[in-house]
Amino acid sequence: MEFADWLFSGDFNAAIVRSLLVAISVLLFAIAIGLPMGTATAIYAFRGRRLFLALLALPLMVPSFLWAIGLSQILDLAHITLDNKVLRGLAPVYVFAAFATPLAVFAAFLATKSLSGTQIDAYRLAGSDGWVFARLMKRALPITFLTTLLAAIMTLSDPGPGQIFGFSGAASEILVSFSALYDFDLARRQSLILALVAIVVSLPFIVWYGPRLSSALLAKETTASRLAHNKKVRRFAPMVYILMLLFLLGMPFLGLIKPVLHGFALDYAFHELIRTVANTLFYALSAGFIGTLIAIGVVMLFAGKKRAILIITLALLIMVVPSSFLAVSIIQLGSSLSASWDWLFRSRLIVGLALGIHFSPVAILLVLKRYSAVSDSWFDAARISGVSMIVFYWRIIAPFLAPALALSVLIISLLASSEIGTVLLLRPPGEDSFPLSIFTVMANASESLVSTLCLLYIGLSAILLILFWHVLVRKSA
Amino acid sequence: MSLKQIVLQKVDKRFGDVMALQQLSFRVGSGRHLAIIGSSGCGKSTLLRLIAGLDRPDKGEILINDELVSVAGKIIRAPHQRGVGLVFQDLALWPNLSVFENVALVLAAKNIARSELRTRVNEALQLCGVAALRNRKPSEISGGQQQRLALARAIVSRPDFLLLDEPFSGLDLITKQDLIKQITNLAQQQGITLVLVTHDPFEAAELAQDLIILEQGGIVESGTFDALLKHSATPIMQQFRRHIRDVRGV
Amino acid sequence: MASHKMERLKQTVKFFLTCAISVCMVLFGFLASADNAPEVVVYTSVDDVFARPLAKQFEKQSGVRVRLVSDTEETKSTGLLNRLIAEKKRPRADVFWSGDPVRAAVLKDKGVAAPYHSPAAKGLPVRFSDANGYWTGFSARARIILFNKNEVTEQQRPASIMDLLNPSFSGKVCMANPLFGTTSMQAAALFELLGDEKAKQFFTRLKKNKLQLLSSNGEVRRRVSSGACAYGVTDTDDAYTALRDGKPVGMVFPDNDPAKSGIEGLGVLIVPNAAVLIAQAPHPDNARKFIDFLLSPESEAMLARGEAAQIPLRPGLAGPEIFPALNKLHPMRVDYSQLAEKLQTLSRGFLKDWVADF
Repeated sequence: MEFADWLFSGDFNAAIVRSLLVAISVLLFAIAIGLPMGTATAIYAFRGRRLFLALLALPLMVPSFLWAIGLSQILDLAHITLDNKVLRGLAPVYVFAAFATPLAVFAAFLATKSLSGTQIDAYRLAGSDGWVFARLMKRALPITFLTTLLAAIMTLSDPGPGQIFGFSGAASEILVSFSALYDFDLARRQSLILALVAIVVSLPFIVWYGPRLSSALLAKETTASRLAHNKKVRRFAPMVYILMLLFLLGMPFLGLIKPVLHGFALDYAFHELIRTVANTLFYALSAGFIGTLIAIGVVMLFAGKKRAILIITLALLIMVVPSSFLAVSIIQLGSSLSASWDWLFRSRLIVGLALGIHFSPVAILLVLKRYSAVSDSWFDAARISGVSMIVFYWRIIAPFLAPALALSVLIISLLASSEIGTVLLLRPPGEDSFPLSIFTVMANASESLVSTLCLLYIGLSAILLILFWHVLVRKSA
Repeated sequence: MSLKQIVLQKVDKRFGDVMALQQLSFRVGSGRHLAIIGSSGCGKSTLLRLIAGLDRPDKGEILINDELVSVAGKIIRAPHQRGVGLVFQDLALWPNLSVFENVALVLAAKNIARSELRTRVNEALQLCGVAALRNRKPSEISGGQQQRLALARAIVSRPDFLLLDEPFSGLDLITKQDLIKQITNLAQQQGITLVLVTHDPFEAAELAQDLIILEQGGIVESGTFDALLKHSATPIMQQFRRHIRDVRGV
Repeated sequence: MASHKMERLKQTVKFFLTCAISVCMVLFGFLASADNAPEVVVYTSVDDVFARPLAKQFEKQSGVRVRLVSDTEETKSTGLLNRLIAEKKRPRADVFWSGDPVRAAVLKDKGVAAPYHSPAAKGLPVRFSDANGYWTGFSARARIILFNKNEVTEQQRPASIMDLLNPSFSGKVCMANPLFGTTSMQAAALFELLGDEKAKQFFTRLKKNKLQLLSSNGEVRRRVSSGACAYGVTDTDDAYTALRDGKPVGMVFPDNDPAKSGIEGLGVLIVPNAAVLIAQAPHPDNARKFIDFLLSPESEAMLARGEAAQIPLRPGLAGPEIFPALNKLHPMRVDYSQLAEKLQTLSRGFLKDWVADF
């Protein structure tokens, strides 16, 4: 009883424990669902495989508060009140899982895809389908775990869903320090404590998992295997995907649909879209490019087999810093510098820079994976031939890394496009993004207007994703 | 005119606690074909890297054509200024460039006119028998063809010395023989001095006139191949001698 | 091998720097656009939909471009006030248009605000403004109790905020998180008026009476509109939104009859907007112009007419039809300039624990 009392007290340490419990639940849920789904999608053929994967990226593009609003509207419709502390903690787990599970699926998918056809055939010779599947999941686990861990750590610093459902975690406490107390020093201390705790908690996993993790990360890429056919998978996989999509997307979506049944506010929504679309794209893409650039720098400076764990830890450190903390620090720095620095600190680019730094760990892992396939002897061959390093990087390394870099730009752009906190604090006056324009009207605008905006955003994201997937698939075919 | 030769004088190279090469001295004269054999980990590849200027010696000095190119802890002449070509053990082909581009990039670094560049690249590809594959990527050609491509890349800059680091591993007998013949011809036509590093005395026998046997970073024996075949006391050469006798006895 | 690695490292750094610099130069070249048109930068915690029409009107009248930076009263962000405080050394904003006087008072405390006695404030009651001119109150909202008409009969309507402690309201009342927004202001006002002990008792008993704690006033409005919650403590603008959307709701201005609670000074909590001139504002002249505009009777009238549904503070101006005029309300007796400090003490102590243990 005493522990329970402490756990729900105003103590910051208790808030950290509450947040960790949510993060761990998210981690476990996402791996439990994502690992088998991702692995199966990588090796088995079934209907709509690519489309399902594309749709699964949707939650990454949508700010968590939209999910939370949708869910709270559903709860409201069903007259369910979260009058229990545990229930209030579960709601954020659901919202965060909607974002972490797709990441786990993608990670398991890519990890399994990186096995060669002969490796999988060797497994097939050794055991039944079920056994092969279990082995493959085990192979994919390290990468899936690491990716999901990053996602779980990101949940530590996002106060949104917790605030909506009345769950007060560490991020909420930091928010209170910022927004109710205006005490930057306190917020800074709390952010550091949170970062330290997150590192301390995840470090044992990294160390324990380290060798497997780095060997999985640094594994050479191979040619893809052909898809296998399995009657059960072909029949059930689409169903599982549809259920999953309904669970992750459908519930909040329904919550958003109900208000627009009384009418769309399309005029206003399109007006907002046109006003903000350029900035939204600019913030997202500049974040993508800058995050990837940071990743290239980090990976090249620290590359080497033994340093993989160092890089992973560094990535965790970056990820765990709350974005609002980073943003406020940037503002303070920009204000204490002279106006000659305004071209950077007070431009739209600073938004991309802050978001790029925040999401760079994702890029670091992607680039590290690809860069590890670069052979030392390529450099030697260039040196002995007198090829200058600039030409060498431009003609050989850059094209070699290009697919990973493109993927990294894309993923960071997706993640950054839905970020609110950083954009709110750092955007130059008048330069809003579309999610932000939803955020700033949702307190008092009519429900149909808010829902129209949300649905428009989700719809456009889905169209963009499907288009992109189409182009990518065609190109790779 | 200076003599075309490579001279190593009391060269040491260590990696951490491991002494890779110790008090190594030898000379390769102009137009000679030298093979360096030894078991894996004996320092063969390190030796080639030192000659090529990819690593610096810890002690001693290296001279190429009577010019000091490396001294203890310092590289005086950069790798590409030494007149050396190197075929790497893993070939080190640049994966995203075509066969033609892999070879052309070497000359592009040397400010050579476009038309001459094309002529020389084609010539090198022709000599090595991969001219027909010019537009393919390295991943799209066979192992033997990749080896020829690596060779073409190493000779296109018309080096005085060609260093070969286990270039025949993984090749079938016919391809290997073919390639050895090609290298020998090339070396003769262009007056190239060869330094071959291998663990396989058969390859050495096919290609080299001179032989150095390396063990644990030091020279155990050296001399002409024929002389060592007769008199060598090293296990590897004795084994080789026995093998030849057995085969002939059949 | 070490030397080889060093060589490679050096080359790598060189290459990376070249790339980074060239990319940055291209990006900055693209971004650098000089624009010297007269402008004023306005940060506002008032919703974008309400603030933008006024900004447009000002642009039309003055020819000065308004660059608006909006925030929200929903409590999921770190908020614009932090940005203002962080930018204190070299501000970017000229004016902060606050939806409530507490945030304005925080800016005064933090040394971000500059005094300005606008000539346009003539006619506005002085008790809704800072005595030293650091912020000036205009158009107001009020704290109300929203109820769902399907769940609540005429007799069950509360008359005082104290009625919510009555067992008959058990489990039926919802309220937003009192660490944020106007709810936090109401909490601070109650502590000021009742004294710490009585106010703590009020909040503790409220919790015992199974209060539902929600994230925001918007959430309170949604819950009451749907009937998931019978009563909600919220603002007049939320009531207006719910009524406009055709929801079956009604509202009570609690303690408008001071006799009902028997507590001296208790009344309807009025929440005026506040205009703040930022110290060392980059465009001080335009900033004053904009504040003059905000405080004018025309702006009060606009805010009353539009979706914002604000109650004008000037006597004689027509307010939104669904709300009583200010002179028909019995305002709570409260010194607005004290609330910010009170709130900060509460947020570190009692209220923080009160929220955490919900």
